[in-house]
Amino acid sequence: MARANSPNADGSEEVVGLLAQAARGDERAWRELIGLYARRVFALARSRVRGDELAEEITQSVFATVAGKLGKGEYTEEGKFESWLFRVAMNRIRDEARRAKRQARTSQDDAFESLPARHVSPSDDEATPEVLRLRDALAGLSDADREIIELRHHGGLSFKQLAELLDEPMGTLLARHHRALRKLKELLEGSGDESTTARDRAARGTTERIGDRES
Amino acid sequence: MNTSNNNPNEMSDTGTAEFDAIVELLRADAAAHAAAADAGLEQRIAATTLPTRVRHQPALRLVGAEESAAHRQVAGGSTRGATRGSSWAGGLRVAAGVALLATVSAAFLASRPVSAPTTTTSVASTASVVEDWDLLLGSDTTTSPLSSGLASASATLLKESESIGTRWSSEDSGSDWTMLEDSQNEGSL
Repeated sequence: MARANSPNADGSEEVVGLLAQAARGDERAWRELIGLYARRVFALARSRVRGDELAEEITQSVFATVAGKLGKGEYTEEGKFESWLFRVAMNRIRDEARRAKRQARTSQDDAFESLPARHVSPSDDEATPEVLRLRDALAGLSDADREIIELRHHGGLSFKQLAELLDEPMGTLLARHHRALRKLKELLEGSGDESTTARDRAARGTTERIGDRES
Repeated sequence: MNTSNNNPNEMSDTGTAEFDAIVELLRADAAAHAAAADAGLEQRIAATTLPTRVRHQPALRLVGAEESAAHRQVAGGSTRGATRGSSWAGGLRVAAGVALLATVSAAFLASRPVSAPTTTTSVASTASVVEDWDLLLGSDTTTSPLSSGLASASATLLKESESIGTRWSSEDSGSDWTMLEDSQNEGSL
């Protein structure tokens, strides 16, 4: 775990060597690869989906896919392992998001969709109030904006890797990321100025209704 | 834990200090998410995803989303086949079995100098399959318990395969094909 977030491990001789060994069935090499990347994939998944178990399921699924491709010799080393790994991860997360949306629609539970975003976020772990406010704001971004923010900051990808993953020019990527950060800032400032997270607003609405009755 | 990329050669996130505070918050958020997994995360993943196991034991038992992923590997990247793998494959096997039986019957009859009784050897209907069984078994009547039993089983298989085919055909009409495209993209890097 010590090197789990070492920047730009992608394409390094060490990773290339580990990939080759893992493809030959070397258990130690495979464990090292998991040590390098599992928590980054988990953090990315957990930022988007509800609950630790689902985030771990997605992480396992991603590594099962990678293991399968390596084992069958379907991965060609071109120094883009991280981009590929996180593409697989994003696809799993998107699949899960679609599934959750379908389930929400078919459940016909109106209350579900009207729940404040925080209620479908992961458990609050050790996050500070500022981080919780950030999570509220992230939930207010479009999928595309949120994706680029999360790949960059939760997945820890470089802009070059993001460009490879999303198949977009670097300039476009930088502009998109900048716009997404600006929106996030606006959302944060909006919630800060009004002191209203979704939960706060709901609570305040309840208080106002009670106040109306009392007056 | 810092999950962002700190390579000095990498350009900054924004080029200005405008978003520094947000970037710091994002790092804290990422660290909180990563720290939420218990210490056994890596061990659990390693235990179920070793490449050699996948290569030598395709039937590796996984749960939930991993099972779906494993199906994808087996199905060669087809999400459609993967998520519905077992039932769909079962339907295909039944249909293939019936088709094979009918083909063998027809080939046998074509090569056999049949004098009497004269029987239609069409393979298009269940009725002809029943008659073909009599000829295959050398029986002149349709009252043989063995032949009628086999004929009945053949007819049941045929109906079952048609039913499965119809069901999947109707269910697939609402499929989300973007999922298939996404899965196919996975192998493109």
